[in-house]
Amino acid sequence: MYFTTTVTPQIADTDMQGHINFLAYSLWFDRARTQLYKEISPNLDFRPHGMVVLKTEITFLKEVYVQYDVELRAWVSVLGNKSFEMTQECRQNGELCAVGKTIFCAFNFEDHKSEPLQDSFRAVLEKYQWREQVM
Amino acid sequence: MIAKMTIHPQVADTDLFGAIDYLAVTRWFDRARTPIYQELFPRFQLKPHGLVVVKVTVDYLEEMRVDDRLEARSWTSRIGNKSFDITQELWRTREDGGEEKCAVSVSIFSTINFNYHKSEPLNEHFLNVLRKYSEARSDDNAT
Repeated sequence: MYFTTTVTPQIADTDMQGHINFLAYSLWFDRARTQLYKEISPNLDFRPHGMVVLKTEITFLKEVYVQYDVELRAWVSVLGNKSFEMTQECRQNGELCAVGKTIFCAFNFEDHKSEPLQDSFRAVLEKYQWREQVM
Repeated sequence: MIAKMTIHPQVADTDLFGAIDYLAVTRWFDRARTPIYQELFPRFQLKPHGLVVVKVTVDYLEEMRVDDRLEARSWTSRIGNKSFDITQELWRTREDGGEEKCAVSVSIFSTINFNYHKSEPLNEHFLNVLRKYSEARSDDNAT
């Protein structure tokens, strides 16, 4: 099932075009994943079992305005042996405004190489597994 | 022609894992598109003919460090009727002079007419700028 985070946009998220700049979405999606990160590594140090980002993709469907809160949903959409994909959605006033997909690979920060997902890590990801987003 | 920009990493681009954070790479690619943006939107040509970003993809190929020597290369990789793609690559120069590609990004833009809030065919000015920055691919001489 997905988990939800609410964010209040700030002026620093906007740009001269009059709405939220695309970079702000990346930051919000990163923030939206924190709940999941903390279940994997409570003090967020990920030593030694962590992950690295391999790829990000964000599709912008609708403008987001600075004056209303946004609701972010995040879940695990694809789960492999070493890598997994998370899908994040940004909604404002109930309407879907942007969708992001982030692909991670499990990484051992001591050996400095990728590794298969640890059992406890995988268990958290399975808990937040939901449908594959079709975009 | 390829738009090239030297990227100077700063400590604020790193995170607790000791390397460049992936979000900084996304920011750098946006910075590297600025020269193309400036030509697409010279001061006297604003609304109603605008552009919106539809999709941005970034592939993170190599871990980067704050003391890396980096260059972003940007060009138009596709010109459609109402949309176009900007492809970008981030290259690192090693101590031995060789180069390696560390990240790639593709951004898809669509026109928008702010009066009608719909897309429209790319106008002459946009097409001229996009063609100027068209390239088949960037220098790929990694050693």
